Amino acid sequence: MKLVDVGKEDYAKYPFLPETGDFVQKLNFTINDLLDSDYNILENAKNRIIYGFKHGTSPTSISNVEVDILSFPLALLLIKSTNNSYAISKFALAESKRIENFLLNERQSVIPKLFEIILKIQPIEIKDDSVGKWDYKIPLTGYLPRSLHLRGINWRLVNRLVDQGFVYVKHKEIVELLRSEIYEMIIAKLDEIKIPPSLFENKSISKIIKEIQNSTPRPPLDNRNIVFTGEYPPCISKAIEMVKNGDQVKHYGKFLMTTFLLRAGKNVDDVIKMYPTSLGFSESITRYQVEHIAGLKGSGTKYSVPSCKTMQTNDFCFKTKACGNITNPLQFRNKTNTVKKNTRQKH
Amino acid sequence: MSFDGFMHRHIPVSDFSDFLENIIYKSPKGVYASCSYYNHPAKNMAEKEWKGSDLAFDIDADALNLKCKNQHDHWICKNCGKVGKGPRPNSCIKCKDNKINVLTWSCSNCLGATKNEAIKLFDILVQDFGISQKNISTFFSGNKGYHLVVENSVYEKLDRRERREIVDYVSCKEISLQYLGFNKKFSYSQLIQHMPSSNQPGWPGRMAHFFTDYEIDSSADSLNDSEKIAKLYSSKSKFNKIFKQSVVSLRSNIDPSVTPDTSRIFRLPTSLHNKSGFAKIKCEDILSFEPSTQPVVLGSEPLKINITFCPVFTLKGITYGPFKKSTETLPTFASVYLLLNKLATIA
Repeated sequence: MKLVDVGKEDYAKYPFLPETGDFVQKLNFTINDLLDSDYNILENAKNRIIYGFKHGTSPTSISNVEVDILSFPLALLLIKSTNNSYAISKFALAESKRIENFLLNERQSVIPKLFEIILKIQPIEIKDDSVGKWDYKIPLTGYLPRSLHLRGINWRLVNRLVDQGFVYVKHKEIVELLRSEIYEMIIAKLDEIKIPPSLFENKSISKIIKEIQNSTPRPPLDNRNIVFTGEYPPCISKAIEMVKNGDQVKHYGKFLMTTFLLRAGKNVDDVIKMYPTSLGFSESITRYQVEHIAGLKGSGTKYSVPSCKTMQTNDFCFKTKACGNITNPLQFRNKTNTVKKNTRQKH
Repeated sequence: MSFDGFMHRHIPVSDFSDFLENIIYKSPKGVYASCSYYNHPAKNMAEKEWKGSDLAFDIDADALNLKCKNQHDHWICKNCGKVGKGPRPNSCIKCKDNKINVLTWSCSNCLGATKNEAIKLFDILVQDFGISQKNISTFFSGNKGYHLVVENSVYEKLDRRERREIVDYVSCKEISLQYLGFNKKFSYSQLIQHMPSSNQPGWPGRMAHFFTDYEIDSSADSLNDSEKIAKLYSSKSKFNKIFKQSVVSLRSNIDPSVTPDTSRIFRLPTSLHNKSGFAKIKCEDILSFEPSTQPVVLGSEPLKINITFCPVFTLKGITYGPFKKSTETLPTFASVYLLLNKLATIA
C-alpha cells in the first residue's frame, strides 16, 4: 500500500514507510558515502541516539530532511554495533516515542492509512457520538495483543467500550497502542541489519561507537537470579499454609506453589513432601503432577511460575505492601531474601 | 481417563470406527477431546504445532459459592464414617482424624444458577464480541454446569494472555467506575453529562440498565436516566454496595483457569460424566433445558446398592433419599449416580 499526499518530510518522520525505503534506495548511497558526506550524517546519527538516551525520545525537529532520513539507517548500524541490549532497547523506545509525537499531531487525511500500514488493520473512523466521544473502533483481535503491553487499568478490556467485536478508542490512545508496534518494527529492523566487518576498521566509526557506549545509561538491577532463603511472597505462603492445614486449595494455588518452589531451589522430593499424605494427598498422584510440572514427565516442558496477573484472574492473589509493583511472584524480595548475583545485566 | 484415575493422552484415531473401537477396547472412565487444533495432533505436546483453539468456557456450580452448598455439601470422615454438613473441617469433629472426604452435591438451585450464568455469557459473546450465535455451542457438562464453546471464530488464534483478558471482561473483573464515567471530583451537573447510558453497548450499557432499574425513592420518579444514576452515585456508601451488586448480577461467573488454557481438554460431547453417569449433551435451547432430566440417559432397570450415606437428589422428576446406611433398589441411573459419587457399593 502506498500513501497518497506524502512528501519528503513524511519519509523523515516515518522511516518504516515503504516510500521511505524507496527514497533511500533511489539516493543510491553506500555506507562510505554516508560517512564521507558533507552533511555530517554520522554525527547526526550519533546525536540522534544520545539525545534519545537523555530525553527518552529521539529529536522531533527536522532541520534537513535528507540528513534526517539517512541518519536513521546509520543510527541502526551504530546502535547495533554497540552489542548492548539495553542501549538497543532504549534507542528503539526513543525512536518509537518520536514517531508517536509526530502521529499525535498528524493531519487527519494521513492517519487511518498510517495505522493500516503499521497495525495491519483498518481502524474505522467514528463519525457520530451516539455511543460516546470516540475517534475510532478497531477489531478486538487487533486491540488485545497491543493493549497487553500497556500499563494502566484504562487499557484493560473490561474498562473499554466493546461492541460487536470492536473496541472504541480515542486518537491519542490509538497512537499509544501503536507505540509497541513501532518499537517492535524498529527491533525487527535491527535484527535484520548485518554489520559489515569493515565498519569497525573506520576509526571515526569506532570512536563514535565508543562514545555511544559511554553515554548509555546504566541498566536496572537484574532481578531474575534470586534465591529465596527467607519469607515467600504472600500468595505462596498462603498456598503452603492452606495445604498444611488441609484446606481446599484451588488447582491454580497448588500449581503456583509447585512451580514457584521448583524455581526457588526446592527439588521434586522436597515439594512432594509439602503435600502431606496424612491430609489425603495421594503420593503417587502428587509425584506424577510435580514431576510433570518440573518437566520430568510428558513433553518435558518446565512450567513457569504464573504471573501476578494470572493469579489475580484466578482469585489467588494476596498482595501486600511488600509486593510493590512486582509482576511475578519470583520477583518478590524483602530483607530476608538474598540476591544471588547482585550484578547488573550482562551484555 | 482410565479407571485407575490416570489420563492417557495423545491418542490418534483415523476415523469414527477407529474411535469407537478404541472406546470399546479401552472402556475408559471418561473421554475427553481437545478444543485446540494442531498440525500433528497425534504427537506429544512439544511437537504438535498449535494452530488455534476454540474459545471455550466452563461454568461450574461449585465455583458459584451458593448458599445452598451449606445445605447439601457434606464431609465424611474416612476413619470413623462421621458425616457432617457444610465445609470440610480441618479434622473430624468425632475422632479428630484429618483424612476427610468432601461431597459436593447439587440441587435445582445450583443447576438454575449455572444456567443463568451460561445465559449471561451467551449474551456477552454475541453482543460484545460479535460472535455469530450459530458458532456457539452450549453443552450441559454432565454434572453441575455448562460448557460454552465458540468454533470457527476470529478468536481462535488468541494466545493465553489475550484469552485471560476475555475472562476478566466476562467476569467484570477490576471494572473501574472511572471508565464508566463516575468521578468523585465531578459536580452533579458534570456527573449527569458523563453517566453511562442504557443505549450504550457493553458494560456501560448493562450497568446503566441495572442502575436505572434500581428503586431509589419516589423523588427519583421525575428524573431522567442520567439524573437518576447521578443521584444514586451521590449517595456514596449506598452506591458502592449497589455497584458491587451490579457486578455480581451482570457478570458471568466462569472458571477463570479454563478459557486461557490453549491446550485444554474437555469432556467429549455425548460421553458420560464419570462423577454422575449423566451425558454431556448439547442444549439446543438453554431456556427450556432440563438438567436433571435430559442428560439422564442410562436405563431405569432396578439395581440394588448398599448406600453409606446420601443427601436428597432429584432425577427425572423423582426425588430420592436421603439415605443412611441402607440397602436400596433404585433405577440404574440413580444407583450409578451414587456409585460414581462413592456413596454406595453394589449389593
